[in-house]
Amino acid sequence: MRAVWLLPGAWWLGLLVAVPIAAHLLARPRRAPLRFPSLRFLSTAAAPARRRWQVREPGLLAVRVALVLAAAAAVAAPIVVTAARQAGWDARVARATVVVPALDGRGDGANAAVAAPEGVARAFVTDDLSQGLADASAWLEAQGPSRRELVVAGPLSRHTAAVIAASAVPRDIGLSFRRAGALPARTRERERVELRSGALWRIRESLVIGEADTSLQELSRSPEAGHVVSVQATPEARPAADAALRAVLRRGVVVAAPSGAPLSAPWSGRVEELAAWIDAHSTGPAHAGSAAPGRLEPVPLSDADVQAMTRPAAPRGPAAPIDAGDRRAVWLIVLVLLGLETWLRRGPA
Amino acid sequence: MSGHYGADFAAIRDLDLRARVAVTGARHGPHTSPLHGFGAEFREYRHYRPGDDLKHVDWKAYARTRSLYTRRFTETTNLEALIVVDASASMDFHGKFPLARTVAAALAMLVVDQGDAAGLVALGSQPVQLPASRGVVHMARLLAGLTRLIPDGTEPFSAAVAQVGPRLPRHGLVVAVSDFYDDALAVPALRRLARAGHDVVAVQVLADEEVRLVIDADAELVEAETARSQPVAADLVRSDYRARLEQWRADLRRALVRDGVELVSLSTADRLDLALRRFLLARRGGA
Repeated sequence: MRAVWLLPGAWWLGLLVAVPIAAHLLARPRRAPLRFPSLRFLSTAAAPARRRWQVREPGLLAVRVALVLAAAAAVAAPIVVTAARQAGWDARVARATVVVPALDGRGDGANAAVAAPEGVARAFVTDDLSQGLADASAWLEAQGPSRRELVVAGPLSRHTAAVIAASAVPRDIGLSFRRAGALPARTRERERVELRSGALWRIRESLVIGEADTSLQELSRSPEAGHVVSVQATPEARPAADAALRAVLRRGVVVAAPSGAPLSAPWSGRVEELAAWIDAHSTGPAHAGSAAPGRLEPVPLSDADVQAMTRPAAPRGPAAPIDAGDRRAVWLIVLVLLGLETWLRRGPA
Repeated sequence: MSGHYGADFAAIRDLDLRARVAVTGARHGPHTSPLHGFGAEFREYRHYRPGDDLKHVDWKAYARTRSLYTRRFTETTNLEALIVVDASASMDFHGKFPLARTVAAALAMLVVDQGDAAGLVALGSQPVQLPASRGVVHMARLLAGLTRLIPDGTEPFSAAVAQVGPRLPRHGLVVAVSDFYDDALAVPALRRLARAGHDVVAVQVLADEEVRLVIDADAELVEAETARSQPVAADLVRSDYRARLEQWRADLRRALVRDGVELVSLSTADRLDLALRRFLLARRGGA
C-alpha cells in the first residue's frame, strides 16, 4: 500500500505550521489579573525573559500543527493505492481511436471506435492525424486511473509514422494500429500547360512514386489552341500583366480551371501573386481536392514498422481529475481537528 | 455568645490569657498590677513612713522589735485587652481575614470569659471601635462587629494601632492581628505602646498561598491596596520570593521583640486551635 499525491506541490502549504508555532512561542498569554496582598517581595527581572521562548499550551499547539498539516495533505489530494484498487485500475481500459478516412472514402469500417470491454472508448475522426492524436491524448489524460490506449485506424502510410514520431503522445499511452482503406495510387498522371518557344503546349505526364525515389515521364505533347488562363488588367497595365502571365506559363504550373473554362486571374502587379492565384484555382488529375498533402503519401507502412511502433498500455496510477474519496477522508480529519482545537481553545468544561 | 467562632474558642477555653507585664485595672483581678499597694497578696515589710495607714502597721512586730513596720501588699487587678484587627485590602486573600477574625474572636471570648474586659478596634468600610468592657452583651456586640468587618480598607493598619493609646489609658493588653505589610508605621506604633507599659502581642496572619507563592505559572498580580500590577513567572521568582519574605519576617520579629512585643505567626495552613494553645501555654509559663 502506498500513497499517491495528485497535487504534491500543495505540501508547501505545510510550511504554514510556522504560524501557530511562532504564535505559541511569541504570543503573550491573556492572564486574568490576580489580587495579591503585596508585591514587595517579588523581583521583576526574571519574568519577561522566559516569556519569549516558552511554548505555551503545547497540546493546543500540537493540534494546530496537525490541523495545518492535515489541511495541506487534503489539498495535496492523497490517494491510497491498495493492491485491490490498483488491480481495478489495471483492468480498466480507456481507448481512443483516431480514424483517418481513406481518400477514396473506403475504410469507413474504421470510423467506429474500437470498443473497450471494461472502460471507456471514443473515436476521433479527422483528416489531420496530428490534430487527432493531440485530441485523443488530451481525452485520455482526462480519464480516471486505467490503462490507456490510442488506436490509429486508416490507411497507414509513412506519413502516419512521421506524424506519430513528431507527436507528443505520452509514453505510458499504448499505441496500436489498424489498417483500413487504401492509400493513394503510386502512379499518377497529370496535364499541364507550358509556354515553350513562344507556343503553348499541353503536356501529359506520368508520376511514379517509388519506395526511395520519384520518377516523372512525359507521355504526350500537343499544341494548346485555346486560352487556358487570362489576366484581368487595365489597359495601362495590360503589357505588364501579359508579360507576367507568360512568365508563369513558362514555368508550366497551370493545368486548367475546375470547370474546364479558362481561368481569369486578377492582376495585382506581382508575378508571384499571379502564380499563386493560378495554382490555387486550377485543378486536374494531379491534384486530389483539398486533401492534406501528407495524406497523398502512397507508400504504406510495412508490418514490421507497424509492429515496431506498437506498444502496450502501461498501467497508470491515479490521475488529476479523480477523487477516490481519500481526499474527503482527510478533510474529515481536518474538521475533527478543528473541533478539537476549538474545544481546547475554549477550555474543557 | 461564641457563634461560629465557638469551635476555636472551645479548644482554648480551659486556658486563660494572662498579661505578661503588670497591667493596671479598675478592679481586682488575677493580673499583676504595677502599683504596690495594699491588696490581698503580702509583698514585704517596710519601715513606717509618716502618712502610712496605721491599719497596715504590724503591731506584733512593733511589740517584738520596738520598730514600726508597715505591711505592703502586691495589688492585683483585672485585665483590659484591646484587640486591633487589620481590615485593609491586603487581608482579603485566601482565607487570611477569616483567620484573623477568628483569632480576634477567640482571644476576646477568652478574655471576657475569664472576667476581664475586651475591646475591638478595626478600620475599613465597616469600622468597629468598641472600648474594653466585660459581659455577655458586650461580647455579642464585639462578635457582631467582627462579623461585619470587610477587608477592603485603604487606611493603613498603623492608623488603627494609633487609636489604641487613647482607648487604653491604663496599662493593658494589646493584641494586633495583621499581616504587617504596613510594618514601616505599624511596628514603631506597637513598640511605642510596649514602651508605654502595655503588653503587646502581634499576631501575624498570612495565607499559605501567599507564603509559598502558590499561583498560576504566569500571572498578572495586582497589589491589593495600591492596584499596582506586575506580570510574574511564578516558578522563576518563587524561591527568591520566599527568601525575601522569610528575611522580612525575621527582621519584623527582631524589630518587635526589641521592645518586648511578642510576635505570633499564623498561616492559614496551621491548625488554629493548636497554635492558640501553644501561644497561651507559653504566656502562662512566662507570666
